[in-house]
Amino acid sequence: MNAIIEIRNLSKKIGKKQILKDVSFSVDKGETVGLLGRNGAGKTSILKCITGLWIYDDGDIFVCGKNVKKSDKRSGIAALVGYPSLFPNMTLQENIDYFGTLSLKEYVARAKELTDILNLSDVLNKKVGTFSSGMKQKACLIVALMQNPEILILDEPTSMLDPISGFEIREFIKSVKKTGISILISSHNIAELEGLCERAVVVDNGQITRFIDIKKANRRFLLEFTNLDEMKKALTKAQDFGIVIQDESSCFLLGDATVLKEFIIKANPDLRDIKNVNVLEDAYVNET
Amino acid sequence: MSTKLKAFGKILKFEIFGRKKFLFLCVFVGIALLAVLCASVYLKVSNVSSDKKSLYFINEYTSREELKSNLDASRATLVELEKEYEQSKASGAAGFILAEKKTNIDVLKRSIKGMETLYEKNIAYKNVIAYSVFDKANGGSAVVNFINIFAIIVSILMAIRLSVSVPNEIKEGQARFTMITSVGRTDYVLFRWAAELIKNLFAFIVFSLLCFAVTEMFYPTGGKYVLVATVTNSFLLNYGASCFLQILFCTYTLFLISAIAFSVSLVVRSPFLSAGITIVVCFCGRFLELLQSTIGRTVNFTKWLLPLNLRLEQSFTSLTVNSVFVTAIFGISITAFLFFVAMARFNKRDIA
Repeated sequence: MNAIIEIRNLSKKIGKKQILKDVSFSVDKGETVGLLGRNGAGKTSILKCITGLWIYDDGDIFVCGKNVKKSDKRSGIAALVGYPSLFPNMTLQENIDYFGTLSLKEYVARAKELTDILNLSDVLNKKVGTFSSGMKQKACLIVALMQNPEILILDEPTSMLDPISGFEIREFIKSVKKTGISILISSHNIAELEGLCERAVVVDNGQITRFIDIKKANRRFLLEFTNLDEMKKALTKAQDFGIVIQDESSCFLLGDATVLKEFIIKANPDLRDIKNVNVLEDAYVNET
Repeated sequence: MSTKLKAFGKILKFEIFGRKKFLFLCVFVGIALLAVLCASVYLKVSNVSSDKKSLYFINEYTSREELKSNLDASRATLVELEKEYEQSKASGAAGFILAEKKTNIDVLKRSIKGMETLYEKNIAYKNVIAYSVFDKANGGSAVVNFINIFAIIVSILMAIRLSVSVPNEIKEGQARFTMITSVGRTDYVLFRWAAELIKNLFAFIVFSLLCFAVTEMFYPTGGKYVLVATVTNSFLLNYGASCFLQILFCTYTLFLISAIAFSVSLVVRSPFLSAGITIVVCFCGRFLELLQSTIGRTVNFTKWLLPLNLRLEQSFTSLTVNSVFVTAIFGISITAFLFFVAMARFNKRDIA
């Protein structure tokens, strides 16, 4: 088995309220999995249980093969769950050193590399309390990733950010993903998850309702032509794909993403516009 | 060296050298020393007339023979008092009368023990003071008073800082980082506690030793003695030893206060509430002490509650409280119980 995070029948109650019920899923090595669900569905609760911040009632969670309940030491795991914060009265460098000491690993070189990548080298000696939200989030990512973890857990990493900061963080997470690290990410932003994840786990009311395999899912493209004739002509060459005519000059093509993209580019010189329709959003919205 | 020790070493090093607050602590010690110097000059601690001295009710004597005569007279008085006590007991006298008579007997027994030691060691009256009676009249022992005052200030500051440390981290969100590290949440909070305790103890001990050195430099106490007398025993100490003993007692107090503050911080999630509860728990004994002194020796209901004031020095000579050993065991047991309950609770609780 290649699972780096494995959750079996996880249940958690707070008072009389059942927060999580019989949650089971896994994250494989090098895989990026998204947690999808509306507010209060239980996404953050699952992440808190995985990191050990919350003590769960029933079930088992294994992270890097170790049972979370049996040890409170979390090596190889980095997490930004429930809006964490650095010490605001300490400088970024002091924060890096403090959390670096707690990681019990060499962190200096990687921390420097990350501060350069995230453009925070100039503010290393400034107090974190004076940072903007975007800078704080970047600083948290440095602290989380400087110990070279095997797993990165992110809880709505861009939800509090402006569009530009959000874009920068997303691009950074994509670059981190390329290093082979496993990522478990929760987000409201479906497009964000679709761009990052191979799989999505849909959570509702503390339970898992569906798994969506984004990699294998049919892509859906909206093709817009100048007129009906051109569309008909083009569609004769597209019999291998699912075709859904929308109106006189546009239709949806459904099929394998790679093949579809190739076909559209090569065989449709008359095409006016192509729109990549968000399949995860469709799947999620249709389901719920 | 184990990984745990290495981690603690790193945290301790960071707490001491990595934070600017330690610099503040050093400045604080410096200012406290200056205050000691000013106070010493004001009190003129070395020039005190002996007639104001309180020495376990031992009368002033000018010769060894006079001391011997006082001792014999006191022994005779003791026999009388014990006879009176037995008669009162037999006649069914009221409890408070018996208690008062018993206290008078104990006070006399302690004076006799003190006189015996002074006679055996041939110590002049002007060269001796009583342990634990720290006032202007006792001259050089003022240094011990300064140590006591500084210990109280450090313990209050440390208690507040420790009691808010974990609740603040949880409230502000740092705990979402600090509690999920390779060190582990249990060891992390323990290391924080130990680092804070060591830092404050270091400041306290450095202050105490410097304070002793500085006051000795200006007001030397060479050739003087501190008499420790109880109902059953008595002995003499020099000033250095009495200061060392005071440092030891205050260290015990600081240790227990830190453990209580830390325990409260693990259970209470609001920083303000945690600080408030810590101050009440750590210092309620002092209020009981005041109550005890107000009500008087005869109503000794606080005898078993006084260990809660987390101080040992008064147990050293007092007739109304338990012995040092009993007080220490009692205080440590209560604190250890609180500590383990808090740790167990913390390990089972969610970090918000």
